[in-house]
Amino acid sequence: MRFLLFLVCLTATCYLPTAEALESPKGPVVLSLSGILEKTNGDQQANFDMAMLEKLPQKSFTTSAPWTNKKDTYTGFSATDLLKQVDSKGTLLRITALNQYIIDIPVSDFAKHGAIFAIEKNGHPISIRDLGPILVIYPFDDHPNLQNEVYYWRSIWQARYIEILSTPQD
Amino acid sequence: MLRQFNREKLPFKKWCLLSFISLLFSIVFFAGGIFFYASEGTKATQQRIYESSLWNALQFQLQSYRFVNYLIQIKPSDLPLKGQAYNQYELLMSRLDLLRNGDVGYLIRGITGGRTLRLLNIITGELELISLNLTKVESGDLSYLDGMVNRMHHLDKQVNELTVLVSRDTNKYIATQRRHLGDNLQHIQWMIGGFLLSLSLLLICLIKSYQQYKKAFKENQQLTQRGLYMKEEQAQKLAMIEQEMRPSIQALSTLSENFIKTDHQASKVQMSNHIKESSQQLMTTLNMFTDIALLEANKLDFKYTTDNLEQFIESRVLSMAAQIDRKGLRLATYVDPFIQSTISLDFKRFNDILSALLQNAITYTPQGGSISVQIRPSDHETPSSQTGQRMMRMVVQDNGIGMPNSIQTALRSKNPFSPSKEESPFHGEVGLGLAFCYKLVEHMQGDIQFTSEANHGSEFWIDIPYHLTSDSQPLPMPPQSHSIKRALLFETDPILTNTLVLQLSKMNIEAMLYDPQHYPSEENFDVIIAHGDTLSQEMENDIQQWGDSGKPVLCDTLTSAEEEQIDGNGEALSSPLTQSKLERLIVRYS
Repeated sequence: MRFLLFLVCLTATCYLPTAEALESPKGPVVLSLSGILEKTNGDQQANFDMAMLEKLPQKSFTTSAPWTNKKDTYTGFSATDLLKQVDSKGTLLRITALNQYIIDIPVSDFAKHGAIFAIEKNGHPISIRDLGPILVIYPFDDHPNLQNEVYYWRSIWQARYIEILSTPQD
Repeated sequence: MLRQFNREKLPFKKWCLLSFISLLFSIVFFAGGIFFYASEGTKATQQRIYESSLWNALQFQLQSYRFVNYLIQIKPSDLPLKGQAYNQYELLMSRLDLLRNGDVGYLIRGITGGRTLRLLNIITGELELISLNLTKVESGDLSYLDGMVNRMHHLDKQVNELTVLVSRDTNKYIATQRRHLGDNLQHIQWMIGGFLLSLSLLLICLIKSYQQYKKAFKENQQLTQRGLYMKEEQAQKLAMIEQEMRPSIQALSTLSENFIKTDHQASKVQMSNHIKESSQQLMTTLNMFTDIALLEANKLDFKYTTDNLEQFIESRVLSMAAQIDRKGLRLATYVDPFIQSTISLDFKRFNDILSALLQNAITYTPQGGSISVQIRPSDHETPSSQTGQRMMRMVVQDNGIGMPNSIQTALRSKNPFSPSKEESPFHGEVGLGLAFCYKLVEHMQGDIQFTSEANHGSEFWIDIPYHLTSDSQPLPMPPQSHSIKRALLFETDPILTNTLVLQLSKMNIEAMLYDPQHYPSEENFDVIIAHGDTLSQEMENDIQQWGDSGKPVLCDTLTSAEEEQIDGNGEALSSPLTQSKLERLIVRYS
């Protein structure tokens, strides 16, 4: 009887919802998240390779930018989807680039203005020389009000690390 | 006249229109200028590009140091590099690309000299060469590292120079742009000044136009009002014509019927005279209407003639004798000796004024009343030796019932000399005669005043200009054609007493008024003049007593018709009593 009760408990325990761990990257890590996040796959941080990022819901838009002077189609994921992936309720992203340039971007920019972390440009992965592999881009052409220094400087290139924070009001 | 007025006004309106169009063009020009310079200023303030140029140049320099540092720090234990070296190289090249492409590249190509572009090409070429050795390092051959580091060190000088040149030229360009911006701002200030000036002028134009519009609107209203007044006046004129002419026509009609019916010769003669008089009155009324029309059209000309004033007045007064007789009125005339006997005057118009005033006096003086007409120099006379113009004053006084208040009010409130007199139906209120008289005096540049009191009569003073003639001489003293020095005067009417005293004085006869309290002795007077039909019994007894004692008595009769019946010579102290008539009587009785 006791053995039977043990088997029932064991089976029930197996079916209880458990915290889903973030899968581990199989390729070279291109983006690392730290700070306010629930799911990790490393040392208190969540590392992503390009394949993991490509699995996130992708968005596209075509826009020009002051550093290109031509229209390009950018494809990538939204920060909101990325934060969902790591189960984070952060509201501010402190992003560091490969050249150590750091900028703070509110998460609301991604929902409100449609900004994305672009991983493809004109259907192709973006090289480091072409300011990739991950860059934040805003739809400047669709929203002329974004064509100012604030959003130009938030368009960080060669993003490598994201520290998820919360704004002081949060 | 209206066309002429429009022709005169047209250039002003044209000028206004041209000014208005010019102002509009100025405003558009200034507004366009402000927009242009503001737009230019916006372009000039695009600092992001300059800042990006400096930022990217410095980032490139920094990245080049990082790349050298990375190469130096590679150790055999780091192998395999797994693309790390490539990544560092690409990072460096991405910063170099930013200096060559986009807005920043465009700006650097535009504002920096050829040296900067040559340096960019040299650096790009050197880095491309280094990338060839990078493949070896990635594959694990670290022997190329020293060569790569040396090449990078040699490139350091060019990288530094490139950064300095970009910085210097960018700053120079910023300074130029700022100066340009300053100039633009100054131009904008001028433009705004001109814009404000144009707006002010436009505002003034609008205010002036509004004032013109208001004035035109007011004039239009006045014209409309005047048109209505004219229509009303026209209707009143027609009514007045009918009113003024009806009595004369009716009188003519009645007299004609009676004339045919009667067989009595004396009555026929009397009616015939009456018919003549009514016809004359009708003609006078018609002439007045014609003259009023000419006066209002300012087309009445004066015709100055030379005549004896005293004789003229006497003749005109005598022509109205029948009318005066019928009403039992007494009238006396007097002309001051200071008025030259022969003067130059439009006697026809003078007669119109005199007739109108006498007619007015006859109308408002009841049976047995008295009227006096006196001519003397005006108080306002300013003799002009050059023009020889003088001013006489005619005073027409009666002791009648006085003019109705409505007429007095109309004469005083609606001053006929005011410019708006034509806008009021003036002669509809005061009667044709007085209205004509006022207009005529105004036209002659004279003056007219009056007083009127109920049951005490009216008095008119009329100042009329006249001219001296070449034969106008100071009046000589009248020849003493009689021996009478003093006259005892029985007269109860103050108006006639005054005139009679003046008439006697002109003949050097001292007049003494009868006073029962101071009974005069027979030696004190030479003649008795009894003028008046209201003498007391005591007076009549005294007159009878003196007459019986041989003193000459000049006694008046009620009318000239009665006089004719009494005296075959037609000379007695009857009304109208003129100076010449009195003189003849005095001479006869002396």
